[in-house]
Amino acid sequence: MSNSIKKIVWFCISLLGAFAFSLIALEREESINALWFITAAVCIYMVSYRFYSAWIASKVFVLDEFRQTPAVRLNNGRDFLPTNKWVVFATHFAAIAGPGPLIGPTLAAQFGYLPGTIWILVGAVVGGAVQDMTVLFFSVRRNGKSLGQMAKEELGVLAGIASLIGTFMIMIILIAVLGLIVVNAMKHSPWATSTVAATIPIAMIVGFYMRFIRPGRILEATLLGVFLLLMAVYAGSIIDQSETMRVYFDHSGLFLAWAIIIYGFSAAVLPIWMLLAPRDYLSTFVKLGTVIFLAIAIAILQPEIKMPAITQFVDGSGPIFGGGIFPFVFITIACGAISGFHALISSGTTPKLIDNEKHIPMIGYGGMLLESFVAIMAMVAACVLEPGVFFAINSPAGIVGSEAHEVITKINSWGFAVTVEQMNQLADDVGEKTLFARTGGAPSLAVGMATIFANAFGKHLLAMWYHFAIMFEAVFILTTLDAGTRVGRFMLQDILSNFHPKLGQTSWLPSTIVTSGIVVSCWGYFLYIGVIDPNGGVNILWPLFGIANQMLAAIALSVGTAILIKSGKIRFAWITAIPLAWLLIVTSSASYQKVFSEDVRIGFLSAARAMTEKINLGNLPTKDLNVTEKLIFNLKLDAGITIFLVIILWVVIFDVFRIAIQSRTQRGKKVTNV
Amino acid sequence: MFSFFKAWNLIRTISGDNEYDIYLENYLSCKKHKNKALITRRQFFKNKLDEKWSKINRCC
Repeated sequence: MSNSIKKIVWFCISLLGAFAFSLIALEREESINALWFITAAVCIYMVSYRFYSAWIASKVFVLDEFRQTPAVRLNNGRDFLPTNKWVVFATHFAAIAGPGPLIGPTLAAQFGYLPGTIWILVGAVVGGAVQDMTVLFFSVRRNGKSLGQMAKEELGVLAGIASLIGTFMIMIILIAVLGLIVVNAMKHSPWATSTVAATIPIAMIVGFYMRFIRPGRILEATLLGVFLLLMAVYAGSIIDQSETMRVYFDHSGLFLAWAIIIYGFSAAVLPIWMLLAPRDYLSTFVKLGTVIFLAIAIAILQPEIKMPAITQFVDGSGPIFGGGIFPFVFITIACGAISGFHALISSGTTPKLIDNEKHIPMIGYGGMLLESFVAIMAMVAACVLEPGVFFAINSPAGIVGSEAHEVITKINSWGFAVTVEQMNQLADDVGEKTLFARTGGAPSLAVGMATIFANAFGKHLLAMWYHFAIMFEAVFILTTLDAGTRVGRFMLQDILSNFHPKLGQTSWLPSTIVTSGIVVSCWGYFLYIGVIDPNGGVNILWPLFGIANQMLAAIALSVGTAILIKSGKIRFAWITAIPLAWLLIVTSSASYQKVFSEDVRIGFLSAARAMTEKINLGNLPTKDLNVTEKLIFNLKLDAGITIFLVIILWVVIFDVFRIAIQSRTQRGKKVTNV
Repeated sequence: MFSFFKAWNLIRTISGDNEYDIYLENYLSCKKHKNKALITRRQFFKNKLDEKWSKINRCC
């Protein structure tokens, strides 16, 4: 293609993207077709990938295709292994894309579709994708070193410890909140519970098949597993209709939380091949298949967006979580826009597989754009629901009441039309007893996805699609829970080996049991508190997870900024410094509000004070006293954790300033290599 | 032109289904492996899983 034709094509793509984006941003009178979201996203991703990532690659990093990567230089046939770029892309994407980009946008839809959509697009293009690509590049140039090692070397020991603590904390909070989402999806739903429970023996069958019957035959074993998963969804409907069988799967949130805790411990101590690895193969295939299927369904159906662009809850009075549009939309949507957790993947497995430096933009920048696209689809799936239905599903009983007419009156008073009959009919259509107060985002996302699938491929199968979507979410949430618990165990064993070397041996059973028990107790505690919280727990846990994740992203961007400054490229340091500054503002202000806000739905301390006052006034029934005391302790603990995270963040930031000042005083001297 | 064979190979490569075949091919063709014993498909798969799950490889 000649240069001028290329220019015209790129001009047209830019124009189409700008038009689609302005339509989403400015249209208020009529509803918008979801296809405009897809168009805007795809055009923006194409332009940013073609120009911004290419500019960073050639001008800032000066990628050298003739320079040997660690995968080539240190090839040992195991972790260092030059690998086909599409395989690395698929491995990297499968690793970074968990449930976060699906849940975050669903929760943030309480502000309307616009704030979340803008943040997903702008955050990914300017922040998340740059972070992933930068960390990947610097790790490749440093023999595949981890984020913690780079932080220690480039910023100092404190930053290294900060990233280690940050990683551990984020893991604990992430597992707790994911566990809570699964519990809320299964609560008093025999169909969902039986389907999710069936995934455990199915994973074990696949594990045995790959280990003993046909070792290493991943594709055929996974196909067998996917077939059994689909059968499990169908079998769930039979269990749900059987009065004798459904009682075995109809459980309260607390029972299910204990079941998840016991499961998490078992998964962490069982051999990898038995449960964790086969579940991961299944979840990767189901995840990729469903996301592609959803994109096709949206393209065929072209659904109308029903959620308003902006709701009245931008003022912080939202039912799903307390807090205004600033800073909470940026905390709620982490993984679809920018996620510190990705930096651990970009500096872990991926850099050791890269065959050629010129693949870095595609894998680092492109991988994040694809994850952002998943987040856009989740936003679409949430916003095609009637807003009244969306809020009826996602609002906790502690905010809207527990009786159906109470909930409906409250939601109608916000200006969103919905009726008890409509909700009962919907619950009946999806094969559930009720859809009221199914907090956590997973059920409403499943209803949204099921509606899209059913309208595109067969309306009579709505219940089947709903439970397929619940199974799809649960399968990879539980994979993250298994994998996170195991990694948490390894990290703890590594720390404990400093005190007793034998505790560091990952194959020593007593150490495995003790450390797994500690990790499971940590996240199990937060899960338990989330379940007994009348406000649904997500209100507390998701922002805490968002703050921890963004803090880790800020550490990753600090490392990137420091290396750019130290290598004499201060004039380009803005590529990481701008998103870093934004995250610093967002994380600090969100933390301040979460700890000190006088609004009891936002501030941990004011909520604890309000509960203490209730106890002192004797306003609580005796049965609630014990729970309230636990909630007060937890709120104070959450405040402490938040303050701790912010202190860690600012310690790292001061290190970056120190390096910047040092660099100015030593101008002209090149301190480090890129 | 689209080739089913190539597409099938790509799916096998992306999923890791043909990792042992690649190892075997490398082992038989590369002299530097001659002093190491050939490992079975079962052992190869076990080593692969142990290596894969000893670090953070799943995200949020």
